[in-house]
Amino acid sequence: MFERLFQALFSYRPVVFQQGDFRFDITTASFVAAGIAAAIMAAAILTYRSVQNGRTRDRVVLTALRMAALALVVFCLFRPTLVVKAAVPQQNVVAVLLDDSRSMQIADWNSQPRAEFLRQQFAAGTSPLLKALSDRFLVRVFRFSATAGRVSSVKDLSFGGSQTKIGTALDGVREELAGLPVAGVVLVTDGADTTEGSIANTLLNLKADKLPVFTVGVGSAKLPRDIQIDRVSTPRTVLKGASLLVDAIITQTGYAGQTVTLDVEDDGRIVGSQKVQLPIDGSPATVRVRATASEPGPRVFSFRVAPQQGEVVTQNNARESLVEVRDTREKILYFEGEPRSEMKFVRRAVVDDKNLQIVTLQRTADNKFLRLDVDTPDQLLGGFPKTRDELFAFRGLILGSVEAAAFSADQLQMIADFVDRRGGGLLMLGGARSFAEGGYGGTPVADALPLLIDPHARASEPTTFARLKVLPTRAGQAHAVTQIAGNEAASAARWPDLPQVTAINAPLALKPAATVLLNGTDERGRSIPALVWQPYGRGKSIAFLPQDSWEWQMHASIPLEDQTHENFWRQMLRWLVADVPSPLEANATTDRVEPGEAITVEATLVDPTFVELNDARVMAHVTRPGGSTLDVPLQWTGERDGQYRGTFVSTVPGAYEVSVDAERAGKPIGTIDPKTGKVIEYVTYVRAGAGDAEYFDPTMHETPLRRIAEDTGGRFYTTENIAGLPEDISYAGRGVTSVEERELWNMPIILLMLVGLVCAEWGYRRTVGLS
Amino acid sequence: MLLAAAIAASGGYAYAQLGGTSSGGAKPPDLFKTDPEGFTRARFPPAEWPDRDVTICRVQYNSVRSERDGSGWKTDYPYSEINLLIRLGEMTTTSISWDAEQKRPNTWVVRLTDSRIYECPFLIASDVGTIGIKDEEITMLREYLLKGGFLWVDDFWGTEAWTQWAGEIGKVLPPEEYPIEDVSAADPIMREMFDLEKVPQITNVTFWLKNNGKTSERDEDSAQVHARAIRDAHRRIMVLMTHNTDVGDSLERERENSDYSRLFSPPGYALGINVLLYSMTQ
Repeated sequence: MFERLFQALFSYRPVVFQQGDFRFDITTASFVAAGIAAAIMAAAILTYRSVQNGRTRDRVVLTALRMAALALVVFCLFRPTLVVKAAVPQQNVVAVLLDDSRSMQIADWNSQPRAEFLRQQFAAGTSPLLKALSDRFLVRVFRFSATAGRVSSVKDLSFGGSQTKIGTALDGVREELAGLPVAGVVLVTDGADTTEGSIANTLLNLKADKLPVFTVGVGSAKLPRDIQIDRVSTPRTVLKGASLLVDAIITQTGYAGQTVTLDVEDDGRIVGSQKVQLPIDGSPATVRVRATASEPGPRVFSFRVAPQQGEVVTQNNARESLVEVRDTREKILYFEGEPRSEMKFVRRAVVDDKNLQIVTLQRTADNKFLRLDVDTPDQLLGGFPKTRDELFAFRGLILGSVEAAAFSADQLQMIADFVDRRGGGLLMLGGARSFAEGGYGGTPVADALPLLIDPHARASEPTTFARLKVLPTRAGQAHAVTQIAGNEAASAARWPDLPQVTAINAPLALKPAATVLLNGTDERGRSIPALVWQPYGRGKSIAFLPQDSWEWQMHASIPLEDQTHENFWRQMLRWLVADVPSPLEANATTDRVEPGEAITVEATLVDPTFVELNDARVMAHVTRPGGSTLDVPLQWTGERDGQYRGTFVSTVPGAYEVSVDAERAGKPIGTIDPKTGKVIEYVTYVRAGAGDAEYFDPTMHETPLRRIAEDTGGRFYTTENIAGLPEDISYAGRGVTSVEERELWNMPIILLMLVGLVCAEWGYRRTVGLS
Repeated sequence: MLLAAAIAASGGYAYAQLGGTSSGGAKPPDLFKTDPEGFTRARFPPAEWPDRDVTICRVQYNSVRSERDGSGWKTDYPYSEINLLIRLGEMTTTSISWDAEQKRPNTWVVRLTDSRIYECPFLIASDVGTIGIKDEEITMLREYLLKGGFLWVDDFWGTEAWTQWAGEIGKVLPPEEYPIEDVSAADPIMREMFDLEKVPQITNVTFWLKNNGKTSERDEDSAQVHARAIRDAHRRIMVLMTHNTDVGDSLERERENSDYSRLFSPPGYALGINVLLYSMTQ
């Protein structure tokens, strides 16, 4: 509207004024005319001065109006002109990039699919826009989604691309048109780019090549009714049977206050469900939903809200997440310094968990150990591991009531290294010989723990006996390890019902990075941290202060069938070993690619003492969806110690299994399977196929499109004001241009102003009675 | 051998060490008979457990028949558990629940209708050939065992006593689901700390002295010692039965006769410590 008005008044589009150079085309006649005008001005001034019956102010106003009108005439007599560079017709190329992705099927352009706009505006033969472009330029039409390619017309577009890569498309077109006179690039899209990278480099290249991009945003900036699952956070790998506590972020428009259900599906089977009341429009709602990973292998978990009535886009109601469910037996070393019931009940709690192996070293007397669930007859025969390889073979370490003096200085350092360097999980349990009472002050183990122990404190007999009512903190309510019932509300209600437990370790201050998950309140109302953890180096350390959590199993108030104690310890020990790195780990840089796209595999490799290795032979064995295999060597990147990388190209859609092994000097490296004696290969998975990324954040993205246009010297258009596009490109000054002069004296605005000034003078005179 | 040496090296009897009465060569007073501290009275747990260290609870049951030389639930009470805890504390790193005022380990008496049994993971009972488990006790004992509690029954002799016990425990853990099995020498309970090849036949010291070293208190009917168990679904022992032997007496009365003590206390303590350790590990 504004542009049309502007053009009506000023004869030309704004771009002409922006691009053009202003000057006067002065001739001798101009000076003569100016002289005459000056004489008329002087006469006018004298005339108004001689008026006797007017006030001074009226004379000034009337003189000024007359002067302004005459000045405008003089301005015109000097022939104001704009000098612009205009593209020479049919000498320049204009590239038109049309978005061919699936999001263009969303029906939010006048209740029609966005694609319909493209079909109308760029249909060969019938479209005025395309005709206007073709009259001026040599038009090259490209389609783009994940890749870009030349098409003959809009009819070649299927609007089925599962990704939108604007940067790639612009790069491709820039390269393809290199060397040709290009007046500009027209990018017609909804702007919903699915790549995560920045397009800054693309824009820099376009600027360097002086290629203006004229962006056309198709679609609505806000959908009237839509529910979207913005994000779900799942771990990449979990143990089989793990109870996942997943946070999902849901946004919506048009359904505020409505209650919907978020379902979690594993291969079509609902494994978790949570109701949520939708917040106000645009505000995200965080939903915590619990799901169980019961089937091993690569599992695609789908988080889904059923489509609601009137939703414009339903594909963004579901999000998928690939989780590798590992059916391995994670080894935890439990070193207990004194026989006590806590150990028995911890072991019993997880006895049915086939994915946890609690190798127990029970000190029964000085230098006498009872060994339970060991792999080999001589494992831990001499007590606690004396070498790093022996200790680092475990993924978790529980220290029961065992004093620091039971370890050598090197063993204490090894325990700290186990957490810091190896990335293992350390859990210290409350007891007469643990924490400060166990003489850990000033040891490397104290450095790892989340509680502050006075470095000068010596081992001592406990002087505290606190009966604690244990409740989760705010952080604990949100943490998977303290979820002891089916859902968050039930868990919060269950904790107060649990019987008291006791702690005999003196309360310790928290370290800055520590998080308290459970707090105990004693009979005097004092609050004592009961479960605290902190990250330490690559691993984590946990302090659990109660010494008799077996009360949660044995107490009279706990029914026989109650699984609280079992669930708590199962979750605790699974958490202890969660995300603990293996000597060899491999990941694809993305878990989904388009068929035909390259897949990059990265591996990290350390020796049994967790020192990075750069000189190993690392090989990825790829099994394609059809069963054919491919070996891809991974090379040390040189960027980081122990990091290897390799790439292969996906061919057909489906899941690609990538197992990685490594050897050095002819010897395999990695975790040894105790049963087979062979190295366990690290397996990861990548899917090739169309995803639903296109339907997330499906509104028209104006900001990035404006940025592309402004950074490159182009202009942003909506579907409403696209008609001026051909002319704007003409005056962009790029490609083969000719210099043109545009006279301004005949602009309608000049005439309007002149008439306006004369009328104003006449009107004023009538008003003050001087006519 | 280790245990025998340890007991010999301890210079006397378990309880005697507590009060320091064995020093100076003077004969210690016969505390068991006079019992100035009143230890032989049933000592029920207080409202709040004084600590969470290791303790033993004795089952106070109702006897429905009598056995020769038996005293029902009081048999071997309290010194067998007191002495066993003392030796456990000496021989292992276990923290024993200790009554500093009375200078003795804490041991408790519990009834099978008392919900406090749930907080005492180790129960013992003697002379169980006389036991009558009441209906109201059945559910509690069953739940206690299935939750993870441990019961060791000892000092019951002959077929009649066995039949009585087997019938009563069968009401708690029906034999169709929880059969009674023999415990072999290879069972972990025989290897926890001391390697035992068998459960020895131990008689009470009075019988042993009167019968010239005979150990079977019911002649042929009790000639064979039975170590039997009822296990849970994971094959862990819930109930250990040492039949035709009186392990408790070798603990309780280790000080009454040095020959008896030398002969029976080491294997008695070895089994007792193994059983206690088993109850805290499996």
